[in-house]
Amino acid sequence: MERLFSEIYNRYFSIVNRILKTRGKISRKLIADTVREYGFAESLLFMLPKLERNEWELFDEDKASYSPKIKGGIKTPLSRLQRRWLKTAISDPRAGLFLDEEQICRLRDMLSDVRPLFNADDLYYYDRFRDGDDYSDDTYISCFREVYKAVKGHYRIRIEYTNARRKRTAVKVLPYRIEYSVKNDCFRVLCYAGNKERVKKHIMRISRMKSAVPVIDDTDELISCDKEAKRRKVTLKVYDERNAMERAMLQFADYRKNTMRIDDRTYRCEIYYDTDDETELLIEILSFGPMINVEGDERFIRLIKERLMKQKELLVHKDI
Amino acid sequence: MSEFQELIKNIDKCRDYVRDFFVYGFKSRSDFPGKSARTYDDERRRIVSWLEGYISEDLTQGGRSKNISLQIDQKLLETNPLFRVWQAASFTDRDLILHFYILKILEDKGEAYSAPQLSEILIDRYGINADWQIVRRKCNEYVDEGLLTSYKEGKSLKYRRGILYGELMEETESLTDMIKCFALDLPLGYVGHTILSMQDDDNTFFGVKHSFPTFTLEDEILLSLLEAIHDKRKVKLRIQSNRRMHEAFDVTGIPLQIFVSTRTGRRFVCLCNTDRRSSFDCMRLDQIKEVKLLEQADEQEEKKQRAYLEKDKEYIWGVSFRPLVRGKGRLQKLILTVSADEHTESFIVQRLIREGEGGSVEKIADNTFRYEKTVVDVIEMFPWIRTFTGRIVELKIYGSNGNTLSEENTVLEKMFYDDLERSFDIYGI
Repeated sequence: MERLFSEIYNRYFSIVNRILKTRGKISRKLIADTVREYGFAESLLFMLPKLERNEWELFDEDKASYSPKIKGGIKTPLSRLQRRWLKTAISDPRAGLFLDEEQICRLRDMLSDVRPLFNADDLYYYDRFRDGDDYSDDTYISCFREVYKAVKGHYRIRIEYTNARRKRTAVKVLPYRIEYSVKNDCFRVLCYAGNKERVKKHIMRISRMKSAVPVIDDTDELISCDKEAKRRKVTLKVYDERNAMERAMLQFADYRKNTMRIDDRTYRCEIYYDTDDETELLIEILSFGPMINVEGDERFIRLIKERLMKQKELLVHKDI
Repeated sequence: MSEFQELIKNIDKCRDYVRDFFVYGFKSRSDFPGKSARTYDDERRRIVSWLEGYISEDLTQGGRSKNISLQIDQKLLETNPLFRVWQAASFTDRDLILHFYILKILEDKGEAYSAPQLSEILIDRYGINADWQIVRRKCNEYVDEGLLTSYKEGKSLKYRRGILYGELMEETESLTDMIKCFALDLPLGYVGHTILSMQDDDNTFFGVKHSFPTFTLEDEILLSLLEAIHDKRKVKLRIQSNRRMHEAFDVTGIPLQIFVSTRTGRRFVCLCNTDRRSSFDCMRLDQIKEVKLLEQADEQEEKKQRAYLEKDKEYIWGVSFRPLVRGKGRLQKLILTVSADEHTESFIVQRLIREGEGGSVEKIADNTFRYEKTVVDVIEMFPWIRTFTGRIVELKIYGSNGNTLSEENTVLEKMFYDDLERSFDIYGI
């Protein structure tokens, strides 16, 4: 049986290897700095003394400095668990975005002695949207690769795409992140357009792209701005009926939140969200019905009220 | 009394604390009855240490204590900080010494030694004193993990290293990029993360949305269940609710599939309950405390149940199967009429199609659309229906034959409309 919680993946082991990879003599400061940078918060307290006192017999006895007995660190072979995960990964429909058929075949060959950790049909994403991206489409693959190269290379590209009104258009952008949505089963690209005076953020679905090519002789200054989207806070009161508290805590687990208990049946929860995600959060909150009451901010309350007022109007008409 | 340690032997206890802190957020010392104040303090201290840089501490109401919560921001979209929990397995000094020296000695491809030979090299080359039996034990452990392979040569058992990441392909850059992307959302993504860690690499270009960081806490449970599914073995699960309101209980059955929700932050194992043989059960992975692999399931039986499951899925909205039994049982038809401007709000119709799990959608009048789906448990659909608040013209629930308005269905409709009325009251509308 494979183990996830094994010392071979331990953070201390990888820190030791980093230290051993250091060329030449190793100072006490370098050891402490490496532990501080890559360790847990309290690793200095627990790991550093072991290294300093050479309890792991990693260094030749030399009082002036630490000379590693193992030069250049070690290369840890892949564990069976890692090979099995890789075998699963190369069977994912998205693998073709990164690897060509020949590479996938070679990898399959190299991993022929292990079985995958799981197959696609072992998992059933029952509430996933049904209009996910087609990862086998040639245009899609080519756009994905161009965009990805531009993200890594930090250069501008010209994208031709179909906008929300189904009009074909083109834009020069600097892509900086590719985001995968598990719910939508699609990739989106986050990018900047515009110039130094006016930077505009775009989020584009790769499936809408018709072509993506590097901008030739790009002399414009590369724009950049804080990647952080604007943050807002919404305060909710959660009434613990029909297990709403637990459902809410799980559903909002991918947001930063701070929850307080008011009494045995009522909780107050502050959720911090990016403005880009506002509508999505709004409908998630609506899905709880009267079990969640928005207490602030005023703006969010207004958004909820607008929908409820429209709803009341529809019901009034129905009754008439 | 033992001293505080940063690393731990067993992750089970700690996993519950991490979940309680980060899923619920409001739990403080008094919410852990039966645990000593010291145990609570130690667990909290460890978690704060592991997750430094990713957590925030906020004063609770009244300012008497601090809540800790995950700092979800752009950084989090590039990794899962909870992976760190898996990197805290304790080890002995001997474990670390043998790990580095044995793997160094066997570094060259084709180099193979027996345990006594390795023991000799350790002392001759590095001055490390290690009994050959201890060396053999460690080598066998690593054969089990797949880091080493072994073969017989004459009477001795020889060990050599397994394949290195760099040997998989001539150029691993694209493969590494793929791992960076998949480690974020593929189940058991932590394993991909360990491959990146071994290359001292990290992701900075990919992000993930609608993925729940706490899923990783259940990954060892998931791993056991996937093995059982693959080997067609029965399992005995120990279940306890996270709020610990009820006693733990056991469920036995044949695991058939893992059900994943991309919206509610839950994963389940769908189990054919061999005790009752009446229906399927979906048990939440975060409530499974232990998985015991039992005997092989009857192959024909497993196949039959799998076929029933596929048939039943047509009528399942989420994870509730009851009272459906092998495609037969009481079904409910839900009809939702929504209003949407067909020129400017076509996205509403698109939502009905793509989120409606195969329900039919048709235009019944100008700017009015009807969505229809037959399921076993309409209550499961209510949260989704409520996301259309502001557009719901009518909601009707019928029997599956389309015209029986049973008392239960009327109660359900009333419940839906009463909830709306309560919402109007809350906001003074």
